[in-house]
Amino acid sequence: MAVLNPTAYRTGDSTLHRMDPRFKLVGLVLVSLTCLQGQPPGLLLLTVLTATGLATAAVPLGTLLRELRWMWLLLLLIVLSRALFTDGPESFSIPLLPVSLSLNGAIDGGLIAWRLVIIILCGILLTSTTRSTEISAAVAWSLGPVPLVNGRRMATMMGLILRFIPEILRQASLTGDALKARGIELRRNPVRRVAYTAIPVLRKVAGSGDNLAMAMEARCYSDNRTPPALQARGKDWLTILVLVVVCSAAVVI
Amino acid sequence: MVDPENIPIIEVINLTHRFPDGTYGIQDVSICFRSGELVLITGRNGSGKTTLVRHLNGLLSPYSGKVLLKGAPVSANLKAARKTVGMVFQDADSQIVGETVWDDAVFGPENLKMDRQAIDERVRKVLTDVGLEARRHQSPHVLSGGEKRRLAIAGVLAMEPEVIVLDEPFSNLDYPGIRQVLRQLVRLRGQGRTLIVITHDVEKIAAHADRVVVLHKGHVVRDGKPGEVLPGIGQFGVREPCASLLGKEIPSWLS
Repeated sequence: MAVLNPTAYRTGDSTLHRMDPRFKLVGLVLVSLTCLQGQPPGLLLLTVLTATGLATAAVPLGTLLRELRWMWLLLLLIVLSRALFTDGPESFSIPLLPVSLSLNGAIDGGLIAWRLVIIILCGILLTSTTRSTEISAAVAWSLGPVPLVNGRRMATMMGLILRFIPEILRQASLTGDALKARGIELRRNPVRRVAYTAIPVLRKVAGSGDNLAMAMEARCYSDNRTPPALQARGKDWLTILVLVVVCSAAVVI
Repeated sequence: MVDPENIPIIEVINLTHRFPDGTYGIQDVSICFRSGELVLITGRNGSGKTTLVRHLNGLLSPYSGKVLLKGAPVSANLKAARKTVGMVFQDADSQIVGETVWDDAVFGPENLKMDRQAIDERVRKVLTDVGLEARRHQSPHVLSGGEKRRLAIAGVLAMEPEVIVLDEPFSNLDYPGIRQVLRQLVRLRGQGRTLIVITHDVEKIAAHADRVVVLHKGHVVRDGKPGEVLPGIGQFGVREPCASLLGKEIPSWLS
């Protein structure tokens, strides 16, 4: 059996799983915009909200945080770069190193990282509780009123990208294991290690892409297909109303 | 099951396929498939089996020659050809597009722009037929190899094709998995479907085949009943079933 990617869709019957994908999409946009405005008390409120969502959807938080380890490195770099390159009165120098760190910069970087974490986790919450076909349908619906944009085609492209993320991760994992079995870890040069991994992964993913395209073609794939049945229910409106109230509170406090 | 009076459902006439690098996959192949037949296409790796069947629903275009589906060229209406000739690929993983068993099975009918209620009814029946209805909400990636292959078959059956082409349906399967898939094929044959099965391991299904076609270096070198074709098939790089070597009737893997 295959190893599951924690960011991929997980079957379930939670409130979030049953929610209309259009409302989930609106909710994600709402939380993301609020995050950009939010200060620590507001961000704390949104963090609690996100954690509640993850718990409700039974997303394995521990596994998720481990799988996102590269993201932590990126966030650390953001904090460090802000601390290094922000001028401010509250700077302090590091002994033996010709650099000084700004406390204000570090706080700014921390806030940016915090906002990014909330947005990423909310995005994962969306993808792990919503089938890609439903996300595509919601995107097609949201782009419907936009002139000169083919919503269905955009949604199709997005659906294919979403279909391929787990495939890329699966291929990377298989290639990584095969390389470890042949002693890749003995190689000191990280660039060569990345090259040895990336080239076969790209080759395999391209091959999988060809196979998938042919299999989809064999099943009469087109943009013009029966859309998923989207139905807004009272609970969806109530959930979005609660979300609006929480986001408003997060901006105000 | 086979009605010799039937006109061929598929006719392949002097078909040649040339790859972009100039090599030939198949050359001057002529063959026909009649309604209700279970035809086994065999041959060593690179003999042109997969290339041949990908012409049957227009996934590949001929370099020369033609393929007729119910008397009309496949290229005249590709959508109709793909609805009539369903194809189960060798790698079930690359064929699965849905996040759940149900999503994958509805993919084809949704592409045919069917009514939602009709899709639901048809897919429920198909999943029940292949024994996956109870797993409809599960991710396809947690299924066993045999179950994935049955899901791939279900995805094709949901489009109600008259002909089903299966490319190496037993590859990478354990013994129970092979029997699951074989049972499914025998059931489909009992329903009167035309089945074209590609395999290099003929022993597993030869007992149920009406005809065996042997491809070698892109040419049809043998075409006939299993009892006539299988003796001496080893010269074309295909393992002859043990029973055939001993001059006995080939037993079914389901018995």
